[in-house]
Amino acid sequence: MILGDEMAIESSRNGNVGAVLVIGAGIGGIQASLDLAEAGLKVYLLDKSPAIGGTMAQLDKTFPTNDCSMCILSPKLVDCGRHLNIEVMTYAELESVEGKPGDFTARVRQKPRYVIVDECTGCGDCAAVCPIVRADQFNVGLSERRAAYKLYPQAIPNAYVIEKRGIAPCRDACPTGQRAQGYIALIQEGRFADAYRTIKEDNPFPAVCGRVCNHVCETACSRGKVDEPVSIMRLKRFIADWAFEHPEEVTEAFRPKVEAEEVKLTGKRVAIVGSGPAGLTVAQDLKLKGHDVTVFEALSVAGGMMRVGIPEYRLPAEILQREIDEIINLGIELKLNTQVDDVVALKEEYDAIFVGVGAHEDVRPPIPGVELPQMLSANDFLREVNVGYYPDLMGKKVVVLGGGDVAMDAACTALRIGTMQADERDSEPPEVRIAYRRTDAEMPAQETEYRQAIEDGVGFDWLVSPVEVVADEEGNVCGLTCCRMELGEPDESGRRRPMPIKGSEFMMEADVIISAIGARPNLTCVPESVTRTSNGRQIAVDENTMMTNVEGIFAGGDAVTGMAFVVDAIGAGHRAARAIDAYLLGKPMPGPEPELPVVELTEEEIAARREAGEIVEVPRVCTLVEVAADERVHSLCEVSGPVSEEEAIAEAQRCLQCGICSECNQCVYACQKHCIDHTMQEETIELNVGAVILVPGLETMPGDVRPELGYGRCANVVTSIEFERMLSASGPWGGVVQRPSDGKHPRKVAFVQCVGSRDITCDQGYCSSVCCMYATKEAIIAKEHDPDIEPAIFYIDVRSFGKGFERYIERAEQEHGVRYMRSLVSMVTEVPGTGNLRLKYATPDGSNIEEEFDLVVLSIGLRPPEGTQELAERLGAAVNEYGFVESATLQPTRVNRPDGSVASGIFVAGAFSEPKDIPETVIEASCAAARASALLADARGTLTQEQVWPEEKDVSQEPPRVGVFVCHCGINIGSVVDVPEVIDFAADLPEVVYAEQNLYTCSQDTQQRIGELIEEHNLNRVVVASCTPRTHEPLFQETIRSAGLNPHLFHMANIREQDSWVHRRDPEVATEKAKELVTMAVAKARQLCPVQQGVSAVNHHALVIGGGLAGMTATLSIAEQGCDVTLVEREKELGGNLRHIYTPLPGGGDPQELLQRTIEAVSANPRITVLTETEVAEMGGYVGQYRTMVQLADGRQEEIEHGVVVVATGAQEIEPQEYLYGEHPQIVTQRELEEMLAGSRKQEAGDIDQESGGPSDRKENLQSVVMIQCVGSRDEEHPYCSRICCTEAIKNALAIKERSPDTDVYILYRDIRTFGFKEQYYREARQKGVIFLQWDKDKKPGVTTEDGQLRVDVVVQPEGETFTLDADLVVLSAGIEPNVDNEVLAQRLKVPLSEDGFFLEAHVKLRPLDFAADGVYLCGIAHSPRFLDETIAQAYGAAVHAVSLLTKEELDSTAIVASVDPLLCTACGLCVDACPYGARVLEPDATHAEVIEVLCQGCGACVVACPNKASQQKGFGMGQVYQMLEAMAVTSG
Amino acid sequence: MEYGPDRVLRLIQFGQRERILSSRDPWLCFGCEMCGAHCPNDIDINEVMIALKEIAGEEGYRVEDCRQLRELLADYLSQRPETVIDERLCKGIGRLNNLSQTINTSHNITGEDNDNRLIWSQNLEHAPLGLEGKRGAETIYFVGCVASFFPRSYRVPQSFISVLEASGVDFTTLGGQEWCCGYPLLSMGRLKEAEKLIKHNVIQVKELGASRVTFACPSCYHMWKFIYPDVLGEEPGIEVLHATELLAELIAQGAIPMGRMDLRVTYHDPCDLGRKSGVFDAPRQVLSSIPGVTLAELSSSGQISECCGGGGNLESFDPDVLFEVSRRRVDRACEVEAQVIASACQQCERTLTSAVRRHEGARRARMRVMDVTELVWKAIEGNGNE
Repeated sequence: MILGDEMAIESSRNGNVGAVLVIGAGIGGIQASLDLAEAGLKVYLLDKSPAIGGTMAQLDKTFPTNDCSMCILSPKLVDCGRHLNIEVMTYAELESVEGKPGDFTARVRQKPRYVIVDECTGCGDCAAVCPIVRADQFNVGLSERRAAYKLYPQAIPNAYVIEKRGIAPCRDACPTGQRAQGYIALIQEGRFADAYRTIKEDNPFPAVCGRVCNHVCETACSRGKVDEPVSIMRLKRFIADWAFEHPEEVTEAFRPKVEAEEVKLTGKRVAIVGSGPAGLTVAQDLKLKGHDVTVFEALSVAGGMMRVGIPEYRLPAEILQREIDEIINLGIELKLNTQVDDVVALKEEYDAIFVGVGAHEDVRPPIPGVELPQMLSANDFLREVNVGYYPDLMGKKVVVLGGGDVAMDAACTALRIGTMQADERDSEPPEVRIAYRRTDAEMPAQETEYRQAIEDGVGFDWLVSPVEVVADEEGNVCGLTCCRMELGEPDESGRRRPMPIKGSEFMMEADVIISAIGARPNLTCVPESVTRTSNGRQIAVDENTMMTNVEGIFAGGDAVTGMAFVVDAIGAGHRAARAIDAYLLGKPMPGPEPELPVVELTEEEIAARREAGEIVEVPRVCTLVEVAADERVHSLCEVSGPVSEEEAIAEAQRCLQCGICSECNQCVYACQKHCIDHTMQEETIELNVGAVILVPGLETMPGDVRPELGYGRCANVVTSIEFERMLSASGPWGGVVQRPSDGKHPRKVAFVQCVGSRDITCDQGYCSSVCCMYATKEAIIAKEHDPDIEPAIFYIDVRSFGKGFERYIERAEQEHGVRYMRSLVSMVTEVPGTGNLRLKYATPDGSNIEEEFDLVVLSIGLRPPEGTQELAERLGAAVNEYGFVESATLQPTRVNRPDGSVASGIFVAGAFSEPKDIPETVIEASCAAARASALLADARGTLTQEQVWPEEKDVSQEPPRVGVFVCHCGINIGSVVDVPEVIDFAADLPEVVYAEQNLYTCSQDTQQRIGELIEEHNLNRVVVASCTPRTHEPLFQETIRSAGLNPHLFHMANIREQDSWVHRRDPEVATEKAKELVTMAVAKARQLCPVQQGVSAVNHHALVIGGGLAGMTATLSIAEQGCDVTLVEREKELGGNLRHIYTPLPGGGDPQELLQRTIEAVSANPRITVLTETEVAEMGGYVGQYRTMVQLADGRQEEIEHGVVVVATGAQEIEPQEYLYGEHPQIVTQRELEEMLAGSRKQEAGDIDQESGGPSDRKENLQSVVMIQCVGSRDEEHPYCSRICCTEAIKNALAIKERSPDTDVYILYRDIRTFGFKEQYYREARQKGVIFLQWDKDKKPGVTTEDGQLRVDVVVQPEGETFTLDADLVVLSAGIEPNVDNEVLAQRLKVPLSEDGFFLEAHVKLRPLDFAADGVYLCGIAHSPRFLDETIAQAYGAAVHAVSLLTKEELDSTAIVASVDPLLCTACGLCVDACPYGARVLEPDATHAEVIEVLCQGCGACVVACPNKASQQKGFGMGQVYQMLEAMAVTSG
Repeated sequence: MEYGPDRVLRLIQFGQRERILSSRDPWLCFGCEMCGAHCPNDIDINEVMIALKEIAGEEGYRVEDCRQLRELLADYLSQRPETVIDERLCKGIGRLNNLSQTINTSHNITGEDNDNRLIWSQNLEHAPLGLEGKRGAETIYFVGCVASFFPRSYRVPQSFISVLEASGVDFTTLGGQEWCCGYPLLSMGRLKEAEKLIKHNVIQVKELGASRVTFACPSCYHMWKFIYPDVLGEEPGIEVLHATELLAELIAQGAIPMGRMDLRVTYHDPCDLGRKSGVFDAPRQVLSSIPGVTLAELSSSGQISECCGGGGNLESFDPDVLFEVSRRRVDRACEVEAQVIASACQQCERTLTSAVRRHEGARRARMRVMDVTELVWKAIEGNGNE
């Protein structure tokens, strides 16, 4: 309740927090924020989405003015984004609110945006290189965007965002953190060089890992849940091979877009012992960080196990060498054949040591005979072969012991060597067998290697264990004694333990035995002072830093882990390098990597994506191609074959892109401002606020809520929001209306109303309030786009109940030819083959017909956004049966708690409490702001900041010294316009004393630099040539103002939007144009003069005219917010129309109780002066300084000085001129009926009472009541809807039914307009038996009387039959008409009236409570017919606007204002007529016109109107503009 | 219809009793419940229509003689002399009166000897043992009057029992102890007369000790599932399954081995099975699991599937109306170039078969109408591509 704001009084005692949290940054949230910030409160404006603007930003046009939605919204966005006291928090969600009114703690979850929002310039370079395509939800999925995106072109903040779900499982699984999804996405786009760069980011050995990896990424791959994992390893192989064949393209991809800074050399020296994958990774990483690196290698070749442990046929040495060379060529010293004896000793010469000596030492079976010459270790054997020494194996029987990959490698290598020797000498190939103590099921070798070994012809002996190597007499091996094994219980590895079978020994023939049962590091070069692992075999390190117990000595790879895979070693290398770098630079050592969320694709999501056709089962395309077995065993040629481009792309397309952002890093490379940070993490922020305002907006119903209407089944059935985007110039098709199925221009377009509204079968028992109007708007706009379109709107009732709506519908029908059909479509089916739609509906004559249309638009209803329930719960707010937040009865924006009490300090506005249109949302937002402002009145100004500027230098006597700054905008301008050439050119322009180029002129450091340069070169004019002044001019003006220059000594040239972006393909033209634009800017700059803002004082007193509900409420709110106010009412008593409203709404809320309480509160408030029987006689002055003469009850006149005026003069019920009103006592208006029902008509309507013996008896006798709607509304005299009469009639009908259920009540109507939740009353009335009969405008009901009996004849639609109703009482629902003396007051206030005679607000959508002239505000039914709660909301809203102004000490006028040259002015007065703001005055007898600067908005209308050029606009002087034109004429010759 | 469902409701609102009761509208309702499914105010229009027919009976307006009806409405007709008392109304009511009498005396809709209910099984190559009244069988197949007595529908029970036998289901029928399920009485507003039929059927099933009843007829199924519990005032405690639900279950268990049939099939949802009983998926599952079958959806299917024309008692009341409605349904099938219209209702099959014969396009395309059970049996026999 208005009076319920007892917190306002309470607040003065408490330490309230002068800040407010606004949740939801649609138009409502924006309005509330601006109001609060202007009223001296700090605002946090929160939104889930990455930009503010909400649903309104998606709309094309707005009704009923057809203004471009974005054009009217955008200035508010900019105001909000730039306001010093509004902190915009996008991509953030509320987690919890705790505390008490006036002092809440809110926890906000800030989602990672991956783009530093304050640094981003919105250039879009990141999106241009992003390989991930997503449906653009801003365009309702009708177009696509990238994972890096800006919500919409005008988005505030003007920053990109990267949509990322988390780390892809492939990356998470890989020890190197390889961004597999990243390079796969790039392969999919055919960007192979970029893919190579992405791979190299994490892995210096792609050609190696594309061949010999254990690819845990594939095991983790989400695609495995669908069919088979993506063939990631093969894709890597493809890219590595491709990169080798396309060196130039690779170089190009790595070339920085803008000159990169040289890496600074640190002078630190690092020694790396061992040139395996770990050592070389460390070497590369540290070299790139500027350290000096030396690698020691004991062997004659580099590469460690990659070189000497992996056979040639799996990894050709040449390919490996390529990758080693790439690292060494960075400038690393490689010392081959150099055995290090003591790694610790290296510390004398080096600052850090990395030990990566691998695991090259054999583990031999503990059996007799292992020392024999033909008993080899697999490591030794493979190493010898890899460096070119082949043992003689031709015709030999070779037995390999072991079951791992090394055993397979050794066996297959032995087979090849022996076969090659046999080929050469035309002899027998060897016979190679593998003996393993378990079975193939337990074998650790990879599946592929095992299979290849079998194909190659290697034999296998399972469950066999060696016992003794047997030699012949010459000491050569001749056999191997083995015993048979059987499998027992599982051991610690989970495999069944082999147990010898007693007495099963047998002898296996063998000439050569190769043992492949394991290897361990040889740590002879690592002294004992370095701690070993617990088993004593490896080096122990810290797992985060890889540092050993000896400071400065690090280790990694097999030397630490024992035999592992290449990727494990690379991963260890990266970790070690990171730590060594920190160690060398003395930075804190790195801790564990942050645990980032890993994506897990659920079965449900997969099912949903399958359903949507996004996932189609396709098995692997990139399968392993191998050289045939009988061919490959004759050489060491590579076994696995290459991958083709087509295969690679097709395979890459199988990737499900489960992480969304693939982290391919292309955006990082592209962003010249370095504002992309993929390591960002979610944060929780705590805010201390005094109040919370909920404005999260709305969501549209899904299109398929009514399956029979075809959405989802027929391509050319779209929802209204989709159609809205289709109409928008920034939409998917640039505003061309076309069909989704075939791009054809539709001719016949059907709009189907009430889809997901007024429909209890889908739990939508309410009216969505806006659909009739938006459908009409869309129909009109579609027709404007394409005059051939024939729109038809199928509806139940046309609900055009708002200001100006009725005329809009009429124009649509009569001027634009929109066909309105009162019929709901029962079914939509597609005509096969055409994409056309067959609509089945009933015509008014009752027949069912089918009509074909080209396109169908479903006018879908509104509902609360997803997650509303949780948000409400978190705030302790009650929600109604439909999920909307429950607002308190007759207390708009206040929130009910679940227990029925009213919450304090938490307010709601907009469609979150009931579906509503933009103006109502804006009004409620202001109302909520007023309530918060009252609550926190004592804390006003405690948390807000004010900008403080240095004293301004006087440069008026100096000659111009111009500084020119030309921006590259990364590559946005620089890649098209030759910026250096523009600089050279600009430097030669007259009076330019300094010119320079910047990568980003708007960056923080450049701002500082401009300040320094102003000082250094004594600049007194500044020109920036960069992007748009719309977003950036204020920034640069602030910069020069901070350096002591007047902000108007600045001028800007837009060489991005107006030049480099439009002439992208023609750099020469663009450069010339840039020069011309700069020339013009300099020409103007030379003429610039300082402009001073005018200020005027503010009187802190308010005047409210009109003492009805609106006026009283506004008065109270102003007083509660801490200002003094005078309320003027011409009647004897306060209350206005409210005094005649009795029947409570079915939902509760007693009007008379409201009246009494309001009057009491007004009388009790010490800040309020009430003057009844008083009228405004004269008004003078202007905003902040009004003087008003009032005529008091006693005839005296009194002058009131005040700063603002609130107009709340109300309106009146129309006195019916028809239906025999006044001619028969049983014909009354709704207002009179209410009085009868309330029993208060006794005295006034004696004639009725005489007949019936009192009102209460009468009611019992009523058999039949007939109500007639639209009496004095929607007719020629009053061509507007009075908004409230339908609900009033239903309210009174229900009241009658309540008392006398048997009374027949008929409501004769044209359209029932029970919008929002009022629809429930309509339904209730029908359920209670109220009969609704519809009539047509040109067939009005007839009221006749015969012998005192009233009879009503009505032609009922759609049947067209005449019904005759006998009536005991006829009730006329009379409309509302404006006060007749509105005109007089409007003239006094210099404000306009609408064509219907109501007061006309500044803007019907976004400024419903203001007038174009500042300082005058509007509320109540003086604005237009309203309900009580709507009136209260308006009154509060007007009050907060008034208070924002009243609490200022002085008012700044706009700097760019008009001025008058008194010498030229002839006092003709044309400018006074031209000025829309009343800022021009021509006093009687004055010789020239004057400008009231504080009212002037700088529109320039007077300058145009002035015939003598006496009117000029500051900052746009004639001389300045001529100079610009001349400069351009000269340069362009 | 003279008024259509919306205006009938308005006439009720305005209390125009005589006007409705002298109109054919309630009797022309197929009971397909299409309008009710679309009503945003959730009005069950079929129920309203049934209630109107019931009131017509209770108040003596259910007369077979126009002269008599005119006398009854004399007062009203003097106010509205232009009112036409339609001959077809009284004739139709006469036919319905006969039908209800037949059902009451013969316990079936044709008036044949009810003991001949299994006549269709006589020309089966081999009739399964225990087809009639087998005690202790797990499942009872409730055949329904149309399938039992209309020779053109014999294919449905024949196929269905063949499939049941092939899949090893332990089943039987009530034979001559199966009485009309009561559906025709329900839809002519005489549900009260059906009470004894309903009780009889439930007792018979319980006596044989079966745990579930299955139906190839959606109307019988709808009665058992939704109306029987209302009439009895309790759940009969017997599982009620439509044939397609049973088949889907058997297919999922792998109990039905099917051969390939390369056919483009469209499925027509019977109103009583789909919209009115909520069974949409089972028949589609069955059809898609037949190897080689391509399922093409009609432009209006599922929840918005239009009636075949065989609904209500229109076949008795006014056969002309039926033809127009069924023709439109065949038009839809032609649009999707179906070779077979599959339905899961012997009534739809009969109606659509006649419509296909009269429809030139469908005739030219050699379109066929088959029950889902028939298609399954053909697939089992492996001679689908004849």
